[in-house]
Amino acid sequence: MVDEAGDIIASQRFESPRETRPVAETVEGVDIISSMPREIIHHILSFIPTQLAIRTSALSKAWRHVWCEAPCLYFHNLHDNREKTARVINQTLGSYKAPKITSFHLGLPRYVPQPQINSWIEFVVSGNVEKLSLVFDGYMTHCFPDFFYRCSSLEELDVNFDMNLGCTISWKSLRTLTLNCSSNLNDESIDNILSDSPILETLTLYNCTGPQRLDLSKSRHLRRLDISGYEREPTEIFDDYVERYQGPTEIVAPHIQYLSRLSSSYEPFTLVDVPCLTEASLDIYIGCSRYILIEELPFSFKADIFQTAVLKMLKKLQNAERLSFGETLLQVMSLARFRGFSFPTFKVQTLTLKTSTVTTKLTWIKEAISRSMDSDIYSYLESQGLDPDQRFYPYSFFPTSDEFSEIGNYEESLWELVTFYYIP
Amino acid sequence: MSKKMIVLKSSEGVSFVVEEAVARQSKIISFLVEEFPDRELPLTNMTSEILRKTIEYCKKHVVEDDGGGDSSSSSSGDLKEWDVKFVAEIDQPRLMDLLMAANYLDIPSLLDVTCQKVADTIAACNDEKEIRATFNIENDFTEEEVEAIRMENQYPI
Repeated sequence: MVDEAGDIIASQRFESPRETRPVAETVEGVDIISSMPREIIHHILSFIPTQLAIRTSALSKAWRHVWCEAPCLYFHNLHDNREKTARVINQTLGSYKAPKITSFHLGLPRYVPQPQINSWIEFVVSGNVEKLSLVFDGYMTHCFPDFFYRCSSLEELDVNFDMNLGCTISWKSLRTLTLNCSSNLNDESIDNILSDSPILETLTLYNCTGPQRLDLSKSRHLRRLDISGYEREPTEIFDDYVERYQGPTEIVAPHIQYLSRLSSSYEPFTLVDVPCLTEASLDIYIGCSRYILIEELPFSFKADIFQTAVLKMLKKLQNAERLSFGETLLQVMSLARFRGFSFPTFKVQTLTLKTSTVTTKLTWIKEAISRSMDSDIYSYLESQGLDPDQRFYPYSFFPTSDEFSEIGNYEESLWELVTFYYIP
Repeated sequence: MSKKMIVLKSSEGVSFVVEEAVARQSKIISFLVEEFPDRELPLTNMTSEILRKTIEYCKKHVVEDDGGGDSSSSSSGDLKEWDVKFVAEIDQPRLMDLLMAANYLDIPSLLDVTCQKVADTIAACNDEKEIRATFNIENDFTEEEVEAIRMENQYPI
């Protein structure tokens, strides 16, 4: 017989229960949590901020020292006032007794003195911290003491501010590094990070500013790269956006297998060397950069810079097995297609197209596909009542994900428009 | 191609036929399947109710590998939403049982989801009295001792 959940119940022999007391003995009104193994209680406490976990010390004698032996500490936005914040953290660490700190999160308001911060860092580094996450509010570059840069227990580091990277760095156990809002990346600092972090597997750069050519070839174990909002360090001040635009950012990462990339709209990227790439998730972020407003660029300029870079990039993705294209990227691709460019053939097994948009008229797409490919996009857009200079990406440019499947089922040529790939 | 099935037996002796890939999310079952292939696996300390819940979770989370690379049947966002609903619908004693089952069977993701729910419940309590009442914890401190601990934990925030 088959029950509702689809499980086939082969037999329903109600044997007498074994002697072992069942784990599942649901009795109302019984204190189950206190008798749970200590590691499980610690695991539960790892999901709540330390200031809330501390309250459990007043529950009962069994709970008295549970929190202070839990290997996870989490402090975030305790107070706007930096003195009060520091006092709370000092007091908490004073009663903390865990021999090993697996995870430490520190979120601080502005202007907590650097020596004070570094004393906490010293505390957790001496506790062989494995996972460190630091969010400091403020614009100053934080200088960690030397021992931080030599922390051999560190496996995961997540930093949300500018830190000094101009020194010798040796993170022997580091597997995952996330830099958020790092504005001082350059060839030297990247070299410092990569050269003695031998097992680094995942690198994430969010809203960082760095060199135009991001060379990660030194990192032999780097498999996953996630870059979003990356901006090139301007070498000079340019008056003219054309001068400012010097070509897309290049990524040299010969060992990575996975790439997630959300590039700035004014500066799409080119993958220079990614032979091992098997999976990529790509899109372009539409927004204004610090230097230029995308909206101010003439249509043809935008279209040209996007297409050139995107087409170049697509060629590098031919070995990928899994690809995910975001909406804007798809629109740029469809624009390129309308302008008569052709795409390389992909060998992907899984292609994900991320679109969320709105009203698309299938007839519109049908008309588009039957038009000759060398037709002029300007007059075409105008004939559709769209002003190409007003909106670079008319949202009706691309069908929604729901509509994709519909198109694919009955219209080969339409399908070709959106899925220029084949499965061998 | 038919999928390989295995049989798990609850403490009441009820047998559940489960796809091997589903059950293998438990590291313990994964180990047992290799050690004792083609045998019924008795889970003598799990009731049918909890075993059924555990299987329900594993079914939702199984990563299908049909040669086209592994792809979960649901997107990660949907899965997260499903998890939240899954634990929200379970009453507290059963949640504790499920948590212990996840620990016993070694299913890290289910352990995380259930621990998260218990943690949220603790965090939502206003004070230690409410935590005690919620989890039926007996207070074996004297009034003075509780006061002393509260003073110790009294922070300037």
